[in-house]
Amino acid sequence: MKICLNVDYCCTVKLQNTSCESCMVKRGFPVCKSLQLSKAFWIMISIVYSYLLFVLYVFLISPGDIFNPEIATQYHFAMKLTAVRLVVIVFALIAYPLILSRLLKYAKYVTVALTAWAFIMYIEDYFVFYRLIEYPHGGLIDTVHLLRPIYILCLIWMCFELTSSPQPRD
Amino acid sequence: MFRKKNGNEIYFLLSNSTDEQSIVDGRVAQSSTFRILLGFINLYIVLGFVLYLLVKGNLIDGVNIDFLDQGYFSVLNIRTTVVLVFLMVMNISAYYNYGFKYLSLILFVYMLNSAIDTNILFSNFALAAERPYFSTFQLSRPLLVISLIWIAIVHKDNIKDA
Repeated sequence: MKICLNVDYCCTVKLQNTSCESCMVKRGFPVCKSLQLSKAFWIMISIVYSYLLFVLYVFLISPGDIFNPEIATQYHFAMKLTAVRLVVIVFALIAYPLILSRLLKYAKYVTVALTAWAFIMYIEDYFVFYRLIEYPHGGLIDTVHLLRPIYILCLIWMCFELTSSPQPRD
Repeated sequence: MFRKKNGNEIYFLLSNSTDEQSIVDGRVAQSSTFRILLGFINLYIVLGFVLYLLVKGNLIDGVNIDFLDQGYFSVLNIRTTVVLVFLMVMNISAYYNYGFKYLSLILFVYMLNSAIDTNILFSNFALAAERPYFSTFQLSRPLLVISLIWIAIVHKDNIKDA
């Protein structure tokens, strides 16, 4: 027999065979608190989201910085690759909060997969495709590339937190 | 001849039999599906590596040289090595039953990403006649990708999953 202490947010009755965390989720307690993830995790996820939204802004809304009048083959390939990657990024941005709030058990696998994908892209751009593709140079594009390692580090932090800490609904 | 077992005895036998079959020398025994899939993944990647060695040594005909000169060979060079190393790590992980799900997931992402990249960058050489051996591997890539996801699903981390 457990007693839920968060009487203001969820229930005032005694709980049997259920934890307070599940009770909070059912009763509409703020998801960010009910998931029991650290503040560092939320900071990391906000950095990742800010970075990805910035990438979308640079490549979609601010075309003045990226389109060079003399587009070489390498630029063309880089833009084709970027277009495919942006589609995946948009899907990930929409789906990840849903997975985190509804399917926390699988969130760690999704996070590992997305981190692996981000890391693989970074490595391949610099060590595999260095002769085939070349990103345009410019203020905002350079910032995107400069911030890329920070974004990957944030994802790695999220992976460690999700895989190592016990989750309430695991 | 045999005494009829009561409910407690049947429960005892059923509850213990699963665990006994699942543990071999202190390890979780994986299903036959897992073994077949792991064998297929190993075979596929090793065959890919053999093909790479044959192309590297100019031991097979019918490979378009222009296609290789476009940069495909350098990409193949790095990717084959990475995948082979990854396969070794994955086999070690399967043996020790530690982190196998994550490794198969990472290899799945890697193979999917490389398939997409290759299709985008080398779409001008998409004709199967120009690269018959590589096209065979490229077209059968979904089988490997499905196997990697499937093996992650059927893999048993601990006795509770068995």
